[in-house]
Amino acid sequence: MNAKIKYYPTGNGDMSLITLEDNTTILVDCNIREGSKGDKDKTMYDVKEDLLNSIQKRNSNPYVDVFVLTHGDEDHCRGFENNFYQGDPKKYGEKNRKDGEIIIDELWFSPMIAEESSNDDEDIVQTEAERRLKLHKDKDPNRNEPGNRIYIIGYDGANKDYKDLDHLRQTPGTVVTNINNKEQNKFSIFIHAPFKVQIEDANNKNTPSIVFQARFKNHAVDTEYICLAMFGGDSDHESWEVILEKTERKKNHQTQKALDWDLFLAPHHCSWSFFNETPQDEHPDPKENSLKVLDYKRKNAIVIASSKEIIDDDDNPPHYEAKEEYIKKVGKDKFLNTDTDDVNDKTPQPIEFIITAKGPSRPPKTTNSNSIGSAGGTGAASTVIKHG
Amino acid sequence: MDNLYSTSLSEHKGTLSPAINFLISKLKDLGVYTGGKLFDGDTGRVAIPITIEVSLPSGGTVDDIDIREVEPLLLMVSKNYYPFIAPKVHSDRKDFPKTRLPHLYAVADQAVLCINRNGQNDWFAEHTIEGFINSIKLWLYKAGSGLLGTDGNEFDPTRLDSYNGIHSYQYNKLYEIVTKKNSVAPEFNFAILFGSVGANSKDGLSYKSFEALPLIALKVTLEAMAELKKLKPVENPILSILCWSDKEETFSDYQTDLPKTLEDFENFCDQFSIDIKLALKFYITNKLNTRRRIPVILALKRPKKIVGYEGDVEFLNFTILGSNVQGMKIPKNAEVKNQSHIEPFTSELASRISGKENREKILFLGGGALGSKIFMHNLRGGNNKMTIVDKDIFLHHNLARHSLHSGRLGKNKAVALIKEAQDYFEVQQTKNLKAIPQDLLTLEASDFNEHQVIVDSTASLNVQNWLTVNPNIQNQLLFRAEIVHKGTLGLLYKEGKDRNPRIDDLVNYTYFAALSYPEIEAWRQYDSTTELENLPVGLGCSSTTVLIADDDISLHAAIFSKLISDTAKVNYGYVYLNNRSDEFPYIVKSNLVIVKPFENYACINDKSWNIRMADGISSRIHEASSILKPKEAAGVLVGLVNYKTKVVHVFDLIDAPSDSIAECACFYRGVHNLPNAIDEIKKRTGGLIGYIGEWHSHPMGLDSLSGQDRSNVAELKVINDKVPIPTLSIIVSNGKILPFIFE
Repeated sequence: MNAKIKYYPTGNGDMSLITLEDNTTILVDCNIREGSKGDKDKTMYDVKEDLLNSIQKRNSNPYVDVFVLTHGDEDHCRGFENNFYQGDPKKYGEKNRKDGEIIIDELWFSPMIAEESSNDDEDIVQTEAERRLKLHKDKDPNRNEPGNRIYIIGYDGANKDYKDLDHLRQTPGTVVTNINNKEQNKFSIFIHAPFKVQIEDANNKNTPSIVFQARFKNHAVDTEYICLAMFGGDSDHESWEVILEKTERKKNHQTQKALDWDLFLAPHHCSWSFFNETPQDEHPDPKENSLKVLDYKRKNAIVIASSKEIIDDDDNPPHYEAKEEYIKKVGKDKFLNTDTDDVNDKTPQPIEFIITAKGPSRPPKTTNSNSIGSAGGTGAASTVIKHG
Repeated sequence: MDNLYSTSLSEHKGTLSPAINFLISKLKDLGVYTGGKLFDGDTGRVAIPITIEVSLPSGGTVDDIDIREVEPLLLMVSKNYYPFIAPKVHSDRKDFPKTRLPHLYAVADQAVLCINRNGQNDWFAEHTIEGFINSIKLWLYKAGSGLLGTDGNEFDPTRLDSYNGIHSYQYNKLYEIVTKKNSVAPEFNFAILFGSVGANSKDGLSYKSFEALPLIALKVTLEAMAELKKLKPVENPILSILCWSDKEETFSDYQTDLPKTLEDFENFCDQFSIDIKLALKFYITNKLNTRRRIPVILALKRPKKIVGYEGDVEFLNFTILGSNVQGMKIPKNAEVKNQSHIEPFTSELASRISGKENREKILFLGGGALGSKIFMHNLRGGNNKMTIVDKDIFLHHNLARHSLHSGRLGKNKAVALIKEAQDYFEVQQTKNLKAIPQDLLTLEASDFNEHQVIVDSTASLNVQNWLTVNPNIQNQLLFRAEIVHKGTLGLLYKEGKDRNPRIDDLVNYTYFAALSYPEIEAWRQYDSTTELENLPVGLGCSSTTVLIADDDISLHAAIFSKLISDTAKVNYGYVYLNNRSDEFPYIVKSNLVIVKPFENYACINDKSWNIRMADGISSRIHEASSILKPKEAAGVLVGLVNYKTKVVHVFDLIDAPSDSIAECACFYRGVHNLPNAIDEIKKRTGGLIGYIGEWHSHPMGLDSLSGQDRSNVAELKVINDKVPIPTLSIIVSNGKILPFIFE
């Protein structure tokens, strides 16, 4: 099976699933709205159902290998409490299974979420992370079991100190190949952020997200990557300026191709904050460094805006001006919006890329093509028809 | 655009059916047909030119295969039969990379896309035109992304759009011949295969090949074939050529342009370093051409395992139209036709198709209606290790519900079923398929020892008794299958580990289970109130399946066969109840009754008798005894007796009635409500389960019957002998169960 990346349509929110050739799954953020479940609202894709169908099961219990929370904003962790299992994995039972609670084998957690508390789901993630960290601190014999594993991404802030757990830490500039206790030889993750300075300054108005590059090879011995996908949460132009400076200074842009990209998840749901300060009309010119980041694109690179439909209005993000800047770099056909790119009836569909030996490729859009049966949706039955 | 096929086609001028006109308008709506010229295709088809935009990987196509962002195609649409015949999708490009892609049909020099694996016309009927176009897009996307060969990294074999006859052989066998270079003589890279021309092949183009012949066997084989021909056999023998290259080179390209003449064929073989000229020279020189056509199989080594079997050699099949004048040279323009290939029925093929791994050797006791159907399910699932024992003859009335067909009338059932099975395995050894056309009571230890599973479908109590005490059954798993209650209830019993629960435990326990399972109670009520009817065929058949319809037997046989195949999954004993309602709409429900091992006690005073107690009975007795200690405790045993096997089964206890009196040296067992309780059990179990004895405790530790006990036994024996049942008295003393029985 080829590796895949799926960007879920969740309105202004992020939720992406990386599936490796060996079926290892890495979920980046979650935005599971209760209203999206089942057929309640046709305008929302049932991401939970798709996720359950896309991940593996162990003893009938669904699990993701890794969950990466880029940062604690609600549109990146909505639904965590209700849809993911928290607590001792040994106590996962019939009720949890029935409720479709997903076990997170390995949690990737930024200490930054300990520095602020903006929503309940974020607090639950923090509590679960603390539970796992305690097991590791206490050297609990079950600490390395699936469901207890954890990586600390980046540095500690002012409120929490995990110094004695540095062996669990992955800092910017690191290449991670051990995913859920399994060494990958055709996949790796280059950690770009968060930096120490961001976390120490917890009052910084710009959210310090985890930023990373997912890297796929065709063969283990290859030096070239067949796909490089950039995930940046809500990182802003200042973050990217630092990323650019540090990566180039350490030559990682050459030795690790750490800035190259084929797929770029537009930060903060296609916000102008990637290009400059907001409001956009007060800072209308994109920063040179942001444009430079985009220039690291490879052939036929694609930008994905995980946001609601991008309209030229004042309801931002998504910023229409940001979309225009992206299009200047990749072209109109290579800028995809999760809410509008592939809509079946009224329901936006995930944007999925299959990672081939020649880079990411998109299967053609699918439609319900059965020639028999009644309409898939309510069709004309929900429309008032008047005959004169 | 000289590189398009359509440039050489003439414009279509005639009218088209409304269905095709609708197709054209839909293609326009979808933006794939821009309204250009339509063309006359071949054989009554109109060619509609369309263009498809193809989604390709960001870095270009995988392996740089020449799939383009816009692909021109021709939809070949049957003028008369569209939409019942799906349009064929031809690439309009002469330079389409057809030799490098799987899922393409071999049609002369054109690439015909295989959009859907099975039943193109049915698939098209189920999908819209938009869905059809999407499938084409998906095919081209996969072609460009290296995703067409998705069969677990296996090599998709060449697809033939049309062929002339079929050559049947075992792929693994031919693979072994090729890889072990089992040629007709060491210096050659070809084998001569012995086989036959298909009996139903009107055009003489369907062949079977069985074995490779060594050089030394050719002469005698030819002589035998000549003799055989005089006998006008159903299938005439023929010799085929299997030819391969001695080079290690593998070939990944597909051959879409297949040869039509011998000259083309020789050139075709040259591409793969296959010396067909030498093979044909050998064939003709040795006068092996006993028929006009020479079947030839070419073996091509592919880079991966082929989809559908375990080898990496693909076989391409042809016939060359030569002469049946033996030794006559074949002209260069001799006609060559390509053939398809298929595997004969083998146990491996059947297992693969059925997804079954039923490799246990099964001994079938009884080849009647039910047994024959379970036997055939196993046969079709690939089991070629079965013995069947039946002394009966297959008679006309058996046609009503037996697996055998009229061609086997008058034959012994066991022999006929095994012959049927042997006919299935045309190319495989069948030494493990064995018929024993005799009374099963004559079976010897060796007949049992070589089997892992025994299936008794005789529905005979006599056979049940014989199996119960048969010392030859030790490590085998014993099943008993029977159908009762006018065919509405099927019962499959499976013995537990070390024959516990044993078959008699299970059968008798099922009667008792009438108290818990309504379907059993209904059967027991029916049996106890209805006299069985017999068919007017004059047969003294003891089986209660006599009045059952064929569909009912199949209903139960199918699930029984499935359960018997799953021997490895459970090691406990069970009774499987497969029940359908008596009337329309015949709702089918199943129940699995797990039966725990029984405790066995030999009687103290007569070791030939055994008491077998269902799980939990002895602990209930001990518990009741300890509660009343130091007084005596007592109660009544519920079960049944089998005089033939000298076994009493105890399934339940009834507490001593309320008018009983317990003392330290005596227990007066009362009668209050006891007859009613027993009658209720007897009624619900169809008279089979009821009072079977007494138990009482000796708290003082006496291990034998007291004087009072002996007096009671004598009194009870007079009553019990009338039933008749033996008089059973169980004493509980010093934590032991001590049964005493008196016939």
